[in-house]
Amino acid sequence: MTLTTRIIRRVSAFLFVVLTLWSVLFYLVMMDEITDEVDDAIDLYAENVITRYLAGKELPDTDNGTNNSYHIHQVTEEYARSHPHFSYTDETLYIADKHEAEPARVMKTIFRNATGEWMELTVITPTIEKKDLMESIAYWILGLYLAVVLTIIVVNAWVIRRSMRPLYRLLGWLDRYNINEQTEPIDNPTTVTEFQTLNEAIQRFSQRNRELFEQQKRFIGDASHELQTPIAICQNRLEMLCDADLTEEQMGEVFKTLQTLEHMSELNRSLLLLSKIDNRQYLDTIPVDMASLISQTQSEYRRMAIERKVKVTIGEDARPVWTMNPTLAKVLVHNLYRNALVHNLTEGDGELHIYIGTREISFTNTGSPVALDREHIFDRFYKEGGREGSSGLGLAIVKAICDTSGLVVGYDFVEGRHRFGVSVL
Amino acid sequence: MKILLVEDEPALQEVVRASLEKERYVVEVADTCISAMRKVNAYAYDCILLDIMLPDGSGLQLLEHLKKLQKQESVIIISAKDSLDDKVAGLELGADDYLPKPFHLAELHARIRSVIRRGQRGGDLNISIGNLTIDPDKHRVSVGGQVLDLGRKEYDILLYFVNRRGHLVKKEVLAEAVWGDDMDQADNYDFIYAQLKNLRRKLASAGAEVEIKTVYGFGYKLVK
Repeated sequence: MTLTTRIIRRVSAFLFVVLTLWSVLFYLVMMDEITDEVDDAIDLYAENVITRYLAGKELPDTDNGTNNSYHIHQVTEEYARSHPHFSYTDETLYIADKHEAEPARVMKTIFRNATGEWMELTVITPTIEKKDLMESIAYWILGLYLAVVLTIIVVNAWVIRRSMRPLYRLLGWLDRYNINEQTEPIDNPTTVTEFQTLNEAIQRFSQRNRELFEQQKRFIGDASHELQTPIAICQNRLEMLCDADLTEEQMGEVFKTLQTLEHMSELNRSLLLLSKIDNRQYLDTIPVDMASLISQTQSEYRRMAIERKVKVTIGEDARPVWTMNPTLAKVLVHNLYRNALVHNLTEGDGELHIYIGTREISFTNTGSPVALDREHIFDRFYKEGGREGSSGLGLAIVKAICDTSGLVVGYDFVEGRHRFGVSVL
Repeated sequence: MKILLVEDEPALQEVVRASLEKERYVVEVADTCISAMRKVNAYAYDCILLDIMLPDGSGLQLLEHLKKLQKQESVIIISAKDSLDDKVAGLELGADDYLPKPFHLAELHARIRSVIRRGQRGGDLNISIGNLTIDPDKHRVSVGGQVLDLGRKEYDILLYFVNRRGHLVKKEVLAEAVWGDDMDQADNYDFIYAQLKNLRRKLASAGAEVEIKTVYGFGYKLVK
């Protein structure tokens, strides 16, 4: 939802409530005013009638059809004492001439004539129809509401868009901002203080961000360098030792140490790769032919598959071409392939089936009869059964690659087989 | 053969130097870019081993310097920065090879031999050890002048050992080098035994003065 839409919606909702309340109030005040006027008129009329009556003058017609009508009749003293001497009521009267019921204001007043008899005068005057008034008010208020909202929309669209122009320019700049590349400085001239502050703040933060990112990259590179060199030294010293004549036992110890060193170096390299992926240092993408990448990987791992007695089959449904970084694509396929071979059955009869579809590639392999922990399988340093020599980073790297390449990786355990599927989002 | 080792880490410097001297190379050492530049200005080397990350700058500067001087030295970059960019940049600037740290000393020696041989234009390109001669261009092996008929893998293994003569070669490393990356995870090495057995038999029956010895259960070593 854009800012303009949000503002228009809120203002419309607010106005709706306010105008509704206002129209109710307006109606009540209006009715009160009208009733007051009518009552005043009746009073005057009644006074006139009573004056004439008491003076014995000729009275007006008792009923002239549509206008005021009245009648005077005698009442008992008890009636006079138990009723108020002035009362106004709203009633609906049937008017014979018009054959319909009409709202009317009825006034009753009690007085005594010259002979001291109690008389009651009833004056009836037709009044306006409340329902009509209400409808009319609602109708006009609705019209006002629509007119106001329409005005607001037009004004908003124009004013907001115009005043917010620096904001949208800034958003556009942020959109183009890439921490890996040098982005042009913010060119967003504005006289509004808030936007000036925002410009400066964003410029400052992006600069700081990039500096931190650079520092981090450098730190990772340096850390790797600093670790690889001592590892190289240890390894080379031990290798020189191997060239001398050692006893078998000594040689065995040296070899085990060398193996550990190699594992350490591999771990270091994997961590470096993982950080690089997480830092989005592999951004250039090209169309990658996944099927040919898989068959290439297959030939590279053919020996290993034979050695491990794993039968590899490929079901090719399509020739998918995915747009991604070529290095990452290669690492992705390699890691999944290797994972499927390494964690396969150790006694032979292992199978690996690779399915290639347009939007999905999956590796289904035999292996441990128990399903893996779906929650943690892609975590760093997660090791199923603590297999020695496994870095616990292979699948974490797969996950990191998928996260940065618009792919999803999933794990299923179906019919005793482990299935790793990578699909396009 | 004179080698310039440009490396700032003293311990690595020392161990590489010791190993090279054992191979009877004359080794000179520089630990900064500047001192390396001074050395290449003044002397000629058969091979330069170059670390990229140096205290006073990148080793790539030295490569540019060499290019400017139009020197023909073979350069092998030794770098812990196992990144493709550095590798490409180094090779574009005229480096002959790129060896990521950590490396095997045997591998380093083999690479040095290989770049030096490539650098000797028009010279004798054959590799000789005892009465065994290998012509790498023609993939031909002869013992005492008599051509030895070897299978492709057998030839690869022999060449690999000859380039690493006197050094212990681990089974895993041999497998990886001869068959590709996937072999280091292999559970057994039957196929290596088979190929090696054939190779040894052929070498022995031809009366070669070299022998591939098994070093306990760990690996092999070519000795004269």
